[in-house]
Amino acid sequence: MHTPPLPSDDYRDLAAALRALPLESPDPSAWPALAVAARRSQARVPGPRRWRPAWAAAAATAALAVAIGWLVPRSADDPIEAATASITATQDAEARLVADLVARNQALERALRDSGDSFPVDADFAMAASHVEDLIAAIDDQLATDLDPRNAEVLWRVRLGLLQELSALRSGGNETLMAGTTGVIAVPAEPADDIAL
Amino acid sequence: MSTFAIDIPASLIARFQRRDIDAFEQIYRRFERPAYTLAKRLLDDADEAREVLHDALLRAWEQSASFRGESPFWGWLRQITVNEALMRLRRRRLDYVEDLPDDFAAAAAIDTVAIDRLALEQALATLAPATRAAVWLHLVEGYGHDEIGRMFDRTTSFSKSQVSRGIRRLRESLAPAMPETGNAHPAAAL
Repeated sequence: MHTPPLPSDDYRDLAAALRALPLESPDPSAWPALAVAARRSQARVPGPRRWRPAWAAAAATAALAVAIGWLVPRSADDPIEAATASITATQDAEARLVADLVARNQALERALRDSGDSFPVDADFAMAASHVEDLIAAIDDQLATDLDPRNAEVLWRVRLGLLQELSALRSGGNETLMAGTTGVIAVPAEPADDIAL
Repeated sequence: MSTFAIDIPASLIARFQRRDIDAFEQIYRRFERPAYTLAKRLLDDADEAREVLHDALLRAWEQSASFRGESPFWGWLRQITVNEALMRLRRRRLDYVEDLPDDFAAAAAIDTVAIDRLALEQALATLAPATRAAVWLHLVEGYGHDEIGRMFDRTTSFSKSQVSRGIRRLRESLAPAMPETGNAHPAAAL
């Protein structure tokens, strides 16, 4: 069995036709999931992180607890649910709310990005900021896979709170953190002793 | 010229290597369509192509330090994309290569103007996975037979025979679509 060699110019027409095929785009875009994976990867890279302030861990736990608390289905007679339902009575209102939250997230993210490398010098704050970034990545992951608009509202709200915390950490705004004024993460007034993780 | 041949500013590559997520997004936007299209041509599966796009770009992001600028950035990224796609092809195994009889009838050359996109894509889809990949890598991306042979963990002859057989199969599939105007060449000397 032998296949004769192909003359080099025998397939120019075919090659030209194949090259002329239009480029295609993935639908949906692969970027949202890729951005989440990239942030996770980015978070893994920074140097040694053998120690983490206890208060940062507590903050992370509190943030997740708040997020989970919002996402757990509530009973119909739950006053919080009733209030939420009255606010988001129509899909349009819900969509506007989410759009507003997305816009606020994006604005704050841009501000953080524009602040460049102004990361906190203090190691504890740097680690805490890194941990908050991990939490934001986890939220992004959830946003990329959870298409329920009601969950989206909660997730974007939590994400906004985390971005505010991150902003405070990066700007060294420990006064804000100590007072716990941003609401999403409860932070103890004084850092506790370091713990090994 | 490969659709991958996109020049990227050195400053953008430098930011990408410093793991700047904005730089990564810019690179993604530039290569999204070439990378996705290449993967889709090799795999003939939109979902898998999207996964390849994701995995290849993530691998590039994580291993950006391994790009040393000795070759164009697009060539580096294209090779990662090809590797990801071929890895998936190897996992499939079934109908991996084209197995045509050597007395396969020679088909006429095609009229590239008259052949529409759909007919060409359908013809490509009739090829066995490895054959389709070898044809695309050689004819469109410009890889040599020795390179393709290595990518498949096979010989240069393997690439030559797959490309040759794939071209014949394509010509046969496309021949009925040719208009009977006499524009097409008579039987190609294959």
